Amino acid sequence: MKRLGIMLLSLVLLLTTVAGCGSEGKDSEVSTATGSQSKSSAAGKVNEYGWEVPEKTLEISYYVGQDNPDTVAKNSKLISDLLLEKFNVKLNKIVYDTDMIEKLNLMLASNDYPDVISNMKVDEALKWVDLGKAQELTPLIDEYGPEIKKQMGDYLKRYEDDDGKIFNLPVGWGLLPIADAAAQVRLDWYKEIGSPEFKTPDEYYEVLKKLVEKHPVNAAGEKVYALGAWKDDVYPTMIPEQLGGIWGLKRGYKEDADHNLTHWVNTDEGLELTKWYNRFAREGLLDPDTFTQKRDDWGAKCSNERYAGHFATWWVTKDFGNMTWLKTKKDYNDDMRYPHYDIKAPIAEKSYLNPKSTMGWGRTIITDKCKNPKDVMKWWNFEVSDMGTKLLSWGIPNTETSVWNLTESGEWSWNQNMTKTLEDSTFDQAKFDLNGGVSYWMVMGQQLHEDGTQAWIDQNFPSKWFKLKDENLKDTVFDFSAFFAISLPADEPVTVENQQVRDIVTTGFANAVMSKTESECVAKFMEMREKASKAGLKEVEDFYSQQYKKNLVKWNME
Amino acid sequence: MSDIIIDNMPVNPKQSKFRHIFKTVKKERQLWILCIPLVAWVATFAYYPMYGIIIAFIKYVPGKPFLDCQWVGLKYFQQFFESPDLFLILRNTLAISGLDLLFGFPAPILLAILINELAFKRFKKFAQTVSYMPHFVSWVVVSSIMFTTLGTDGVFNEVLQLLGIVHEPVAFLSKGEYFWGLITISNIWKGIGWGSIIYLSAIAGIDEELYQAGAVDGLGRFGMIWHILLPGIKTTIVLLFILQIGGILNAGFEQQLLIGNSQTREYYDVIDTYAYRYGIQLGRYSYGAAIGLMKSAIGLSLVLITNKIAKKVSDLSII
Repeated sequence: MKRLGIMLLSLVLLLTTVAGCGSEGKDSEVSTATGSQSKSSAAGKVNEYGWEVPEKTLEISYYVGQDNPDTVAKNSKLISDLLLEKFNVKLNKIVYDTDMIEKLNLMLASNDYPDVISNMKVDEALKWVDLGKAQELTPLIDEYGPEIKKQMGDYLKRYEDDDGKIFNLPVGWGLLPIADAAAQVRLDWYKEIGSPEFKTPDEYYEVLKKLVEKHPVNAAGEKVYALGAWKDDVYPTMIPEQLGGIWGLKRGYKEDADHNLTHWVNTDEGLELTKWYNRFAREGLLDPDTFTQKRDDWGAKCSNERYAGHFATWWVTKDFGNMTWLKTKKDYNDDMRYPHYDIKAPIAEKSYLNPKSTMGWGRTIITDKCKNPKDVMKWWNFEVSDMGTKLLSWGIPNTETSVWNLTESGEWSWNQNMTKTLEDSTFDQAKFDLNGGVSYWMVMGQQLHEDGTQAWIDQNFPSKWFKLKDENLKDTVFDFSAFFAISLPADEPVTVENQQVRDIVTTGFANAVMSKTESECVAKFMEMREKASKAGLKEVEDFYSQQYKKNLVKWNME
Repeated sequence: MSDIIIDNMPVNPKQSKFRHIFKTVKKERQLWILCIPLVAWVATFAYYPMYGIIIAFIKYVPGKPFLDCQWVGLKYFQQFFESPDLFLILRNTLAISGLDLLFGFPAPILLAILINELAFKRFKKFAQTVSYMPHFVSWVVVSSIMFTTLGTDGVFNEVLQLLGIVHEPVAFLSKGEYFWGLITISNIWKGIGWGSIIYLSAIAGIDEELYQAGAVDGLGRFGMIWHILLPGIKTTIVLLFILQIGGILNAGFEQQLLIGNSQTREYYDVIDTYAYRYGIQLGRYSYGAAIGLMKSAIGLSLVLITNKIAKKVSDLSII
């Protein structure tokens, strides 16, 4: 009996161990873009959105990268229902809470991936093309993508390979000529000191210093700083890259007449901007946690009114500043915000604060798993159309919280109740998100459409503060696509050298800025320059210069 | 070949050995059957995936069959040894692991002894349970606690300023020189209670009569610890020491990335964080695999060497 018991126990252990080793069932297989069996009553008709409803449901599975699956499911529920009901289209958006590159490599290694992959980095997309995992799009665009050709115009050529073939299309393409980064000051405090004009970095420094003198502590008695930032993967290098615009650098590089690029570490301008930022640190005006705190820590301090100014993108001071105060402060007034100003160093010919890319932030491919690529292309063709952009960017129409309405005959109009909240800065983003706007972008552009509308809803109704920002900074916006299109080749020496330089510069800049004296700051800057040179900075500069010039020639932008 | 006699039948030594194994297995067959799931588990999940080591020697592209990838031999190992950061990351790895070995290794032993010495049973259990809790706190939370405690606005700085010890807040988290100390303290804080469990169980296994004999011989509390308790758990200490030596190149990963920052990179960057940045993040899986393989080989060698030394010095070993 005892022996039998032991035998049984062993068997159970063995079975439970190998229980997970079975082959994957059909349920876990990634579905392909096919027409399923469910038929639509509206099949063959063109609906009010201008989409010819297919007889069988068009189902597309596509992976978009890292995101919270619950949030994605919540925000895409309403639009997903509408697409199935009115379009007979089912979009299965796949996101995972893990790093996209790691996930893509796992997909490749396991040969298990969906019909479409979107939001890929350029080099990643090219890797899939090289491996023969991406389908050629050129004939599909020719046959099923007239809207894509029309909307993208000359931009389309930028995605051709050396043989004139297109294997990937961008998401977020087109020029959005709005300013992102700028010098900002807390407006109500600025008015208190008489709004002195500032046009140079030194004048900006003086203004911020006066603001801190006037408001040394917040209501809770905590110290107020002129500026502050946070640590994350990109931010430490973003500070000098953004600040460099004031000194005439373009995204951290100095461009000469022959389009050669020199990294900011190798320029006098780079030294000047480091010294300028260090001055804040030396005089106790820079948050000492600038390089150690997380974004949320910075945000909490911003919400607690501990910064007199900010130098970076506008949305963080909006989210943590005025939009938070609007909800939390009883004495909130419209001047409690951070407007944006253009400043330029005297040695710079022009300020280049806002380099823009027309290339989009990601690439989209149709994989070799897709059985029906022409239907995917038809959908993309609708997506970039005027009506497709409205639906897929602004979300579902005809509800109380919709920003737009659409009649059965296809006439559209704005929902004034909602659009006025955009203009007076009381727009409820969370409610808007539930309507599914921006949920299903695969090849969407952000260009201006013929009817004067734009994919980003807030750009259609800019508030007076938005207008002021863009007016103040209009001369700082420039097309730098030829630079942004550069991708570092995988597993090549220059990629490693670039990472080494990046590590050295990230550490060196932080240490130089936090130096106790200016001479110490200069010494640390020079040490950083020397280390970066030894690590291959010259090779990195040469690579970027060559690629940049190549793109300029290819796109007739010289 | 000289034959030997078994069961009145002459057999050669090879056959004899095989028979002996067969007989033993037959005799202990229930134990062997019980082992099958574990052996299967180890074979499937620990040995079968080892064929993937090959990617350290080829230019691996995910999605491409191994045989289609270019053979590069020891190129990635060479690249690692020629890396300009090699000295820095080896220094940091050995320093952090060394401090862990120096302070982190004896800390749980000390805690186990202290807990064992507590007379009040309820408090003893309470202290034991409380000491385990940090083990379950994630590094993300630990990094937030450290920022709240040691940040320039942190409690520690407030206390130092209140006591007049400093006039300006000290940037503990952005000074590279403090990093090794901070990471060692946080490692000890997280692991001390959990690590003490195994020593407490070893202490519980010491024969009570030894203490009684010690008391008769006039040993005090410290004498009991020195002459009875510590020799009683010596085997456990040596075993864990050998294993910790084997992991000397594992100086941490998450904690470095979460507590470290650009100002402290030259002090926090260890082999694993380096391999992640230059291997995984740059899509150079072969490079990452080469570093991992090298780490494992060194770890195994260290285990064998320490084991040999331990055997020679104290007649205790794990193999």
